[in-house]
Amino acid sequence: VLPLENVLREDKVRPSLPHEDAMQNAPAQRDGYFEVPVVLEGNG
Amino acid sequence: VSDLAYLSIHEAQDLLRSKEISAVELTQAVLERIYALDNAVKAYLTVAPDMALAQAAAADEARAKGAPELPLLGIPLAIKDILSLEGLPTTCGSRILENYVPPYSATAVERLQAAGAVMLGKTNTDEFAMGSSTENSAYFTTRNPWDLARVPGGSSGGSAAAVAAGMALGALGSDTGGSVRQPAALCGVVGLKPTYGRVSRWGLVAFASSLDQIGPLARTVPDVALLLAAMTGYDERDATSVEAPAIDPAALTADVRGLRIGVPREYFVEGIQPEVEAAVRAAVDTLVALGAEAVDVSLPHTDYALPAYYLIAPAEASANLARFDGMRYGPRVGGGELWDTYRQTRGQGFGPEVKRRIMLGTYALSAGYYDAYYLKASQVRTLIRRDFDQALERCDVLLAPTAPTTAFRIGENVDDPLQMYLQDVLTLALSLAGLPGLSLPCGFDGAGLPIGLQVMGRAFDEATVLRVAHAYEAATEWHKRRPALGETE
Repeated sequence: VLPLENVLREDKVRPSLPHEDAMQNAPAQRDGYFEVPVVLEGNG
Repeated sequence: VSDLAYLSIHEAQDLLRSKEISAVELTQAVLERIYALDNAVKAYLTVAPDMALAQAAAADEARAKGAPELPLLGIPLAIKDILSLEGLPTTCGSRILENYVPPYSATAVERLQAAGAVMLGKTNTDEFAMGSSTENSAYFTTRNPWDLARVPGGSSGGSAAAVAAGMALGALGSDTGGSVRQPAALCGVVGLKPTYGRVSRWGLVAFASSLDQIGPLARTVPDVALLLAAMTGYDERDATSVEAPAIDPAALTADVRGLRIGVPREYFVEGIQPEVEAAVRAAVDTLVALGAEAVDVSLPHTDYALPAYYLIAPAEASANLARFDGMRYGPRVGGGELWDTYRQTRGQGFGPEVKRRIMLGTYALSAGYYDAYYLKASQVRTLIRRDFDQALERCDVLLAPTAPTTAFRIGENVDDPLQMYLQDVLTLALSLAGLPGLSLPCGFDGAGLPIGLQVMGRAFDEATVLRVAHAYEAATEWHKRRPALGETE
């Protein structure tokens, strides 16, 4: 639609989604992290 | 009761401002209509009466306190269930998001709420907006209010049916290849796909990122203008959002004198229902009688829009839908090994059409095929855009049918995906070009089903699209007809 141009914003710290809200739909969690099946196999 | 539910947004605003009705009364009337009719129409996936009535009460309170007049204060609206609305489930019509509740609202939804709107609930959609009938919803098929044996169109079929049936004064949909315009046409309401970049997609679950736009549906053109104006504007949370000329609904005129209206000959092809062609040609004559000039134009690459779209959109969808893997949200199926969990979660969570498109897209993007498919389709897309640029150099807008037929029967096209894809043959090219398009009622066929007129315009010139549509609407009576639903009960 338009001539291409990168869209950038200032790199400033701002409030974001609270941690608990971001985790609210997790099918499994532990200690505030998403709990997932083993990803790296072999040396675990 | 049904009279309140069938008020236009502008009419409702007048009654609310003069305090002849309250927002709670209006919302209650619409909710009662939903309770009475939605068992038959099935437009809503989630109805939120508590939320709606609380917001309506807050709107009445704000008005009583003499708060500054907001453009949508107390107006009950419905939201397609692919847009996030904090606190209500957002399923995208898919089992893979069955219990997902977004922790934030989409920018477009947030802006409507900031303008005072009341949220009635979430409307049905084809799974991840992939479809033209709502038959791909994992939950149920929405019925067309004009004939319950027929589809409402899609993918925003729930929103279009809700507006047509008086179960919302307006609604939001999303349009990737025609998903606002085609259901608007099939349900006899007004629906607008804005220019790519006009409305922020933050909070819209992504289908095809180079095409997706959020658009409003309502029963009149001025109402659609009002909804668009309320949600438009730059948003730094969507990198494709641009600072576009503002929409001023108060400046909307019905004056088309001197405007040049292009009629693209490729849009009146074999296979189009004769009554649809006749109604659209008559609409061109109506606008000419109002002082516009009709011009024959050609968009020579129109035939390539459908194949190009069905490479580009599935390719982008295959990447976008990779995030639904049962790790951070949605049900996780199988507790063992990683790949088995992916396979089972996605295998059970996605329906057949979504799987088909993920496979098509993954194939088109795979090593060795990228140049032949995605790259070639992107080049075709440039040619399609150029066709529109050339036609719109000579014309202010283009006029065509929105869909090749009126609403088809439920089940009629489900076994033939290519036949289903043809439903969007007249809307896809405009989506690939990123341009704005609106559908509004321009007649009825012999079976009493609505016909849609598509008005297509230049980038960020929704104002002219709306002006032409408003002029046509003001000169005709089609938009005043209502489906017989409920009135016979």
